[in-house]
Amino acid sequence: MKTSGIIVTILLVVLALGLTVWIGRYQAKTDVLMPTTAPAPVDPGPEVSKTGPFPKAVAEVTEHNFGVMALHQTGEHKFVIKNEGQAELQLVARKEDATCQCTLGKLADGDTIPPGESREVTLNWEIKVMVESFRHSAKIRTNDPENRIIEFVVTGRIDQRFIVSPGDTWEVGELSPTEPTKVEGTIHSRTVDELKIQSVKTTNDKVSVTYDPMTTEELTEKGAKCGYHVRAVVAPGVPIGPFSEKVTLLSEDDERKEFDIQLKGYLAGPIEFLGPAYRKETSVVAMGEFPSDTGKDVTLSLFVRDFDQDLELLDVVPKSDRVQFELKKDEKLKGKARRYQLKVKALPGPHVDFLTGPALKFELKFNHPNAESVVLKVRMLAI
Amino acid sequence: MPNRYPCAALITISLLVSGCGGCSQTAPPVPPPPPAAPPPKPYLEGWEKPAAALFLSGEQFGYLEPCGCSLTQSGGLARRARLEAILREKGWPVAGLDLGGTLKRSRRQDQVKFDAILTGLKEIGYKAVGAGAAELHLPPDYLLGQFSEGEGIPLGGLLVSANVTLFETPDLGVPQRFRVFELGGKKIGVTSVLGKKWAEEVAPAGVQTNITVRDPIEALEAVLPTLTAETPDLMVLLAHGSTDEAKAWAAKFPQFQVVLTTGGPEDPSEKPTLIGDTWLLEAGHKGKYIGVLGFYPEAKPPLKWELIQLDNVRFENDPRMDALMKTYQQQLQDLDLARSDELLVPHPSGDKFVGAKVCGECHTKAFAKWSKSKHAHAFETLSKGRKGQEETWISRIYDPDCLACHVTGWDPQNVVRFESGYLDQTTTAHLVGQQCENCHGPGQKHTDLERLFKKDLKAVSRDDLNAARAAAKLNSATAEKNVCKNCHDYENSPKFEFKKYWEEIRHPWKD
Repeated sequence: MKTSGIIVTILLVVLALGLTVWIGRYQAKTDVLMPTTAPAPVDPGPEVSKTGPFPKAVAEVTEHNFGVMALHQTGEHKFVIKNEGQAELQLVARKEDATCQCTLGKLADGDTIPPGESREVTLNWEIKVMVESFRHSAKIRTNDPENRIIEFVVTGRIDQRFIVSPGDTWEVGELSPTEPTKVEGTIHSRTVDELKIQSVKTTNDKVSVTYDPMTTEELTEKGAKCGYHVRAVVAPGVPIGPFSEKVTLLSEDDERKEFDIQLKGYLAGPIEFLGPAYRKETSVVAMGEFPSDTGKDVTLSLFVRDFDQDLELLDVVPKSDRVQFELKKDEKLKGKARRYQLKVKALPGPHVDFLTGPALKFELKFNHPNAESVVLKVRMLAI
Repeated sequence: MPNRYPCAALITISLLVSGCGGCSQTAPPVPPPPPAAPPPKPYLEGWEKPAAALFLSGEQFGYLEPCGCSLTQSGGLARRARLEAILREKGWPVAGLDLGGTLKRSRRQDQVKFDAILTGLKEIGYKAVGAGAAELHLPPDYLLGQFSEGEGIPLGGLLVSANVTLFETPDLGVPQRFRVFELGGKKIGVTSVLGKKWAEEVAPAGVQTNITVRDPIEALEAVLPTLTAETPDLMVLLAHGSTDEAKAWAAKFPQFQVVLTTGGPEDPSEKPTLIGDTWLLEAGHKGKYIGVLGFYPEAKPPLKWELIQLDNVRFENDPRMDALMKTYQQQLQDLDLARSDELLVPHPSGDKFVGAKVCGECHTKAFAKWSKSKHAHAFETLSKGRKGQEETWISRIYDPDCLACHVTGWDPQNVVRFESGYLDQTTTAHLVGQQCENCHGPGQKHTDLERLFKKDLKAVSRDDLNAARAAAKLNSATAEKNVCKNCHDYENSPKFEFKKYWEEIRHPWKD
């Protein structure tokens, strides 16, 4: 083969391969006959006649207020659809067309109503969560060109058989370190005639609970038929920090044997550190990642209780040319607790990584007799 | 002549190869998929660009993600963020207002979740969050640290209420009495009030909670002169009370063109209720929907409202929220919350968990069936995600909300850990997955007695032995009524049908 022939052949090879890739590219983009990737056909509902005659779907009532229901109660309501048209009315109900907790019953897909006749459509639902009100709906698709979708709605209010007031969680608030802290509430019913509390369970010896039947005045005030006044006392001596204790009152009611009440409060320490960048469990100030040439500031809140003087930051050990602390009093807060803002300043400087490796550790010295020294760790990545 | 042949041959090959691009022409026929339900209607159809668009939401109840772990559920901050990005890219001025009710509980995890949700809302452009009951169940110190305006406090100023005061200091700045902000050249004024029922719950009489709640009407009368003096073009009241209270406030204060209320149903009506000229709106629960309010000052009426269901058909996840979710899960891991004493409760039976392998020592057939079931692999779903999610999945193996249904020895509905229940993969590797004892109860007593009995028939009382056996039995009626639904609830398992699912796990054999 001549040299020119070889060159021509090589050029043709390159051309052919290029053509292959180029043509193949377009072929691969074509969706033709790609059954595995083709989307499912969409079914918009019963097919509408192109020429008529047409059905006419009429539902005089599409919304119903069911009134009051209880938690876990099931509801049922029948709506009526009438066909006032000239052709058979076809109906389709799908699960996807109903809200959660709601189903359309007694209506099979493809169900039909002859002209002049009507059909009951049953809506079923269950009250699965305790909220104030409910609204459930389901849509029916039809072959009436003027009324392709009919939405049926049931609404109502949800009432509890027994009401624990002021709620399942009772705020005990800020606990006193020296005096008992008290909270009270009621367990009552607007629907049940009688309630008998047998006993109370608690696993914390600092918590005591007493209960007495509500007086006539108390019942009238709550609009209740029966109920108990419940008092809880948290004695001094619980640990500093959040306080949470479940108490359970046992009843003789057939349907509600136990009433759980979560007592929730807080016993503050002498100085509390708070703020979005503060990780309480590890005493870490998380400053995150930031440019080393700009530095970064974050601000923590310090709450100080039962200390008449102004809090002062006396010293920080060790001294650092990269991280500094500034304490400033919030003059607005007038209550029992005093608030200070502690600015933690990461100063501009060279690249440092205290995020993936060990944190910087500081000891802050205050003039508070019960918190003379507090350790803070700073995590940051300056890049 | 000979040098033509290679050319012809190559062209033939190239055509054959190029034909492979469309080789599906020769693919065997595949049965067509069943007809799908019509896609949801396009959102904001027919809307012109408004002068301002407000995202209105509330009562999220802790749902950072869609309401439940089923892929078909609606909601999630990531989809909400996607909608915000779409509208912003169209040039719409978008901001958000939330009623509050962010959380379901007030545990340590909820504080972490609260940070995550609020950070997400801020990222989406929210300007105000009402101080609702869920927010006020968090310690006031924490709220003050989180919402004070200042350098390094990203959520500063976001919490709003006309009638809630912390530490008996009305001018503390947390919550803000109202906010006025500019959006698309228009001024939007917003405030919030807490209703009677919630006030009694968060600030019960005689209890030092450091929260005081003023009468809403008095508080609004006090706030309105200052708020209206800033001449907002649109005024919104976030009404955190009952719908009846919201109606009364709307009637009493017609200065608010819009009142967004709590207390409505999970799936509310899409239409506004008119109280005089004021639009009373509901946004539903759990973040399933986002209400979009369009403000057209020159039009009559000047408002448009659409409640958009955040489904998985129209909305992808916004990658901004992936970072948020990663941080949230990382924090749960760092804090080791699954192991915290806050979640620890004794099991009502007083018994302890032993793990499926111990059960399988005797119940071999049942163990073999369970081993092949999805229950046995429930934990893997948390660590790796479902099929198709593996690449982008953010592990949930430190998230108590998720662990409760994917490990053994937790109470799923209350998200608490029973003593001797799952702690972590190292300490309690024998309790990974949804095992026998979640349905049959902890098996320590039963297994101890059976082992003794096996060694010496007279070593245990027959009554005790039979009582422990009876306690471990579970029939289908009890399972349907009391057990399966603890995890297969309407949110996390919306397609659950007891009869169908029961067949997948039933094991009527004793060995």
